[in-house]
Amino acid sequence: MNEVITFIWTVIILSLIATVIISLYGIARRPNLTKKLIALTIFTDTANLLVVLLGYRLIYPVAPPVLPSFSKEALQTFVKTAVDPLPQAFVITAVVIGMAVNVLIAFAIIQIYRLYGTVDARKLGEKQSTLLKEGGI
Amino acid sequence: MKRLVPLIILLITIFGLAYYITPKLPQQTELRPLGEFYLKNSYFGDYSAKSPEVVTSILWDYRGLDTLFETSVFFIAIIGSLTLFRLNKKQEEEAKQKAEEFRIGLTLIIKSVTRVIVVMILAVSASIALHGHLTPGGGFQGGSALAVAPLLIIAAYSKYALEEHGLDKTRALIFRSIGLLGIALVALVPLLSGGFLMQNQPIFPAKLGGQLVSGSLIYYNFFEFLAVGAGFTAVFLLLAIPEKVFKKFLRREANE
Amino acid sequence: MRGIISTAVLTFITYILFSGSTKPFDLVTGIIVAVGVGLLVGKYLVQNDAKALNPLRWLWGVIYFIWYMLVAETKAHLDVMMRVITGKYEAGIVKVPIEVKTDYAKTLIANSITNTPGTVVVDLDDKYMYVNWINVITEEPEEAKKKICEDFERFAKKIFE
Repeated sequence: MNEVITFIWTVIILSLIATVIISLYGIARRPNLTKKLIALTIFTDTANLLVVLLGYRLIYPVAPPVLPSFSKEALQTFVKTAVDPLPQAFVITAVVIGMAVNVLIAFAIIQIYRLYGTVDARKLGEKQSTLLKEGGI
Repeated sequence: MKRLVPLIILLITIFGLAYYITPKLPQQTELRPLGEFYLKNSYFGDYSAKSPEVVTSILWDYRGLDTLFETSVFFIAIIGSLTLFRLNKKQEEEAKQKAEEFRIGLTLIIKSVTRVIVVMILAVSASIALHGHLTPGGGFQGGSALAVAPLLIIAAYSKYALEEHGLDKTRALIFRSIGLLGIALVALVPLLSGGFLMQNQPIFPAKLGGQLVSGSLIYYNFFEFLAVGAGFTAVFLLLAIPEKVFKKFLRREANE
Repeated sequence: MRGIISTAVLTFITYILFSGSTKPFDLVTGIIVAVGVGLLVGKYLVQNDAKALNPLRWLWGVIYFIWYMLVAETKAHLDVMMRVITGKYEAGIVKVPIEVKTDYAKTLIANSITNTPGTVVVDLDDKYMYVNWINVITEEPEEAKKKICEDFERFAKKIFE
């Protein structure tokens, strides 16, 4: 039983690492700013999931870190089966702040689109340099 | 077919690698000492937060200062987005004025279903936030769920419907400020009775009228719920300004 | 001050169902949230308090739910199953008149039609619905109505009109 759990766990971790690599490719190589943002959200979510998995224990009956009932005996079995709560606590704040930062970036992209008429990073560079030469900005 | 080739290569690599390295991995079956400390102390121990939900007690008690500053990061990110979209008084009035072409909304079916669903979303988000110290959930999650309600109204009716009935950007910002002010006040209260910043037990009562409220956790959760929900509502209201209207402002500014 | 009570009841039921427990803490916070939500959005949900709080209408709603889930759904599923096996179908969009006036009644009829397999409401205006039907027997609006949604409309009138 334990070997199967370890195998599945390894597959999950490796798939997440593959997702991180794909999202990094998206951030670096896609010229469209919106697609860069989408890749960035995939990257942050995968990173958060990896952090949550740090707290996982490779045992079979595994419980969430919520005390099931208010008794000392329950606490004993609870400590034996519950996962590490600390990474989860970090991720909760990271998710909401990630959402707020994504909103900020999305606003910046919309503003760039309104000002320059494009969200293509390559065209944006050209436009900026021509505008600077003409004294438009 | 050509798109499937990288996928198949990726899957083979992952499964092969997993099969290869699984026996060599160290198996983590024991808790780390820090995690064990939190699990043992959150309700019963000497450093108790009086909450059965260990994640929430870490979030707002053991590592409360972390969360306080992360809330300020959230606050600053929202302020940043509002600043990027700032309008002067005259433009703001104009953005509120009804533009007939943008206020039609979706069909009648979606509108009347939205009305019922919004009520249920409000109930569910309040339940998530207020049970944060008992079950998984809390202020952040409840606030994110709360922000879905105005988003649905914006999608089904229009942003003008929301503003006509009293929820405009200023109101949303006021609610958010109330939430943040509440968090700051609850954090400062222990100083009055000789404790330290963000102390929970034994300054706040763990039970109110026989019901477990886990000291300060429920207040933090409630105010965070308000702050997150209202902050996202303000952002959605700004995002919902029609592109045409905004372009008109920009063009006029460029001409002046 | 219309609509507060019915909205508060809806909120309270949702709150308790979602919380999954009936300790005094849940009940007290549930009542506070319910009253708050009722005051906030009640007037947009309900046009007529007497209608919304009439127990007879609620009873008809329950009867309709049971009848719809057991009879109407089964009939439609069997019909579509037969068509899938035999391959006999002739899909098309027909015009169906509706007589109900209120928003909720129209929504109930449209959602009921869409939820049964074989028929989908594509669009609606004040007097007509446009239904995508798997087997168009007739293009006559009144005839089509008898086949598609007469029962739904009868119940919708009892519940919402």
